[in-house]
Amino acid sequence: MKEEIENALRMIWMLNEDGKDVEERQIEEKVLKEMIDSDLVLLSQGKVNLTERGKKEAEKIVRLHRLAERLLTDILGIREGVEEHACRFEHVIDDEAEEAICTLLGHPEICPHGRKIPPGSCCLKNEREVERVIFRLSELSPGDEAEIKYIVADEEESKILLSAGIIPGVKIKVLRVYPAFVIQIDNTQFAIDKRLADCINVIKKV
Amino acid sequence: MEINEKILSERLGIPVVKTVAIERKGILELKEAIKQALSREFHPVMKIKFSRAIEKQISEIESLIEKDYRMNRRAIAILLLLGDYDILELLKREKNFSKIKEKVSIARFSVLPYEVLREIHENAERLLDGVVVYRETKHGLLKKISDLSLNPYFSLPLAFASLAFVYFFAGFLGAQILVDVIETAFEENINAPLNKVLAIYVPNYWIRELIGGEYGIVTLGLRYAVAIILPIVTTFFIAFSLLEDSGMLPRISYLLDTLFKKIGLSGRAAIPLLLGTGCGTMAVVVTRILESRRERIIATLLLAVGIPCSAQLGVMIGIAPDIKALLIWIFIVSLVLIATGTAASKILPGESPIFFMELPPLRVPSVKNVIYKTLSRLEWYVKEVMPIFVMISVLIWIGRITMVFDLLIAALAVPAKAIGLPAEAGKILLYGFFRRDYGAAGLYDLAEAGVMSYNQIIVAMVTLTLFVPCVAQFSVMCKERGLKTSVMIFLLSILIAFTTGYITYNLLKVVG
Repeated sequence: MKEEIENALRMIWMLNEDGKDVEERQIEEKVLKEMIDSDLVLLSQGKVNLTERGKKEAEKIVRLHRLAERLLTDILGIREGVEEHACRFEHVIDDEAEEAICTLLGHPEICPHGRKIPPGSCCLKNEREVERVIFRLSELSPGDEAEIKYIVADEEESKILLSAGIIPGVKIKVLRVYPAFVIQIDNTQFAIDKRLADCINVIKKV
Repeated sequence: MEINEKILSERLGIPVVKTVAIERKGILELKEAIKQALSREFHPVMKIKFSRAIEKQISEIESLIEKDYRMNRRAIAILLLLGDYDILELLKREKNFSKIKEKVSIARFSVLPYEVLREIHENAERLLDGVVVYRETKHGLLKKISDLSLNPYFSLPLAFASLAFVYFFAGFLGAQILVDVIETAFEENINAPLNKVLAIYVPNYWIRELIGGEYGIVTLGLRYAVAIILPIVTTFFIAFSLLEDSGMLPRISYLLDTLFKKIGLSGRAAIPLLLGTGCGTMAVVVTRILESRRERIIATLLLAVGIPCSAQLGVMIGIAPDIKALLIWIFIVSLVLIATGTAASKILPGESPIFFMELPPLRVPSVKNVIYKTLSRLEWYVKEVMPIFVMISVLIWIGRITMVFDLLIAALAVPAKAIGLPAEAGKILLYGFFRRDYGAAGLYDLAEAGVMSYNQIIVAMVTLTLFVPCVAQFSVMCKERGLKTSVMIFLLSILIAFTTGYITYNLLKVVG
């Protein structure tokens, strides 16, 4: 598939995600025609709607884009120009690489901007064949040391974690996991429940 | 840890004073420095520097803000990028308010709040480089206990021991010994002479009753506040402050979190609920430490329904005919509390609470701190609760003049009879709302007179505990939770009290 078509699919899907309709005029004529011809979209009353096939394709592209964002920020530690990199990345990852990346990241559900990553078949199987690098804090055991890589949290949870300085890049030590989680950061100990421990994704120190 | 304040002062461009707040070290020097600083002008040299991307966002937001605030615009912009949306409220009157809002929400896509925070941390580290020297601390006995205290097998007994200590201190020393001494002195030296003087100089019965008599402002209001509640809450506050200062409270919260989640609360709620066994009124105020409104309502509900305050606890223990009766009472009240919490957490909308708490290291409580904390709590008590007791006397006075009380007592006698209590229990319940120990003391008289059987005493103990909170607690509830919620909780506790009383009565009849 051509890049222009992939980009158009992604745009339509993301606008739909926000509950917005897509007008005919928002898409280049040539691209639109090609999309209709390959049964990716349907036109009705000036609005562009994804077909079942189109939806599937679009979902895959969005998924790749957001996985790429995760990979670039969490693992490779790239801070600037993530968006452009991800845009190029999404067109070159093949199915096998996609599953490997997804498993490596621990089947993340949300991109760094807080948007949902559409699940792939590997997530549904919850595969753990590729050795996992990213763990949730809630999966660690007492004595484990780790570095926080990313946090997936709602506004309330983020506020608490942020105000305590529990943010990516911080090194933690797990002291206890029952009856609640106790972690140590520098000389300070925090008790947190499973809900918060689930939000924190880390790389274990070996 | 060692701090070189000279370098820090140079880097910041402002005076730096070393203090240790809990030991009150350097406080005087700090005051002096502030006094001097007021007459001088400073040019802070240190500025937090961010990366290009963040600086760009900051200046863009900054340029949209037009008015002047106590904080500078740059600081406001940084807070907005950190995701502090409360600060948006402050900007409501800005001409560009909608633009600012939009800008902030878009900014989140290029600069995540934590990235801003991380850069602030990096700035701080740069600033402190060479200023702070850490030294390995000795791993003393306290450190070992501190680590051990995270283990439930060790900390549960430790928690129980601390609670036992609180009860020995407040329940025994305060509620029994001190109350006895002070109340007798009050009755002998104030009530008796006052009533004599009133009998001679005030011919009008109702005016005499307003000040003296059985329910007067001095003879009931002040006596209750000064001679009964004050010694109990003072000892309780001392014990509670010791617990707080030692670092035990957060550990108790941590231990109880899993259990509390089942009743819609987080472990944090252990603090107000525990405080509630001292004074429910203060505990309602302390529910403020809970994160969500939902949690605050559940905690207020439990405090109102069945957490007995120290005044109530003392008398209940006093009137229980034997240990078995006391255990039945504890069992039923706990069961009702658990059921109420479980039901409330199912019915009230909202997400389950989040538990988050810093665990400070355990330490030997400092005497100064304990005194300071106790005094500030007592100050609150004297200012907020004492006047309510005076008001209660006036209310009782009005109620008696207008005969409203007789009506209410007659009305309460109906459900009281239904749960197998003598008709006099109606009066006990009504006065129990105004002064919790009176209800229980009335119960004691009834039991002594042989009017009530063993089973009836248990039923009365349960009902009186679950019955409405005292008037002081109710008025604070209205202030903290609003009138509507408080009235609902009030009515609910009447319903729960009588329903439980009825079930207890019938169960005991069957069991024998």
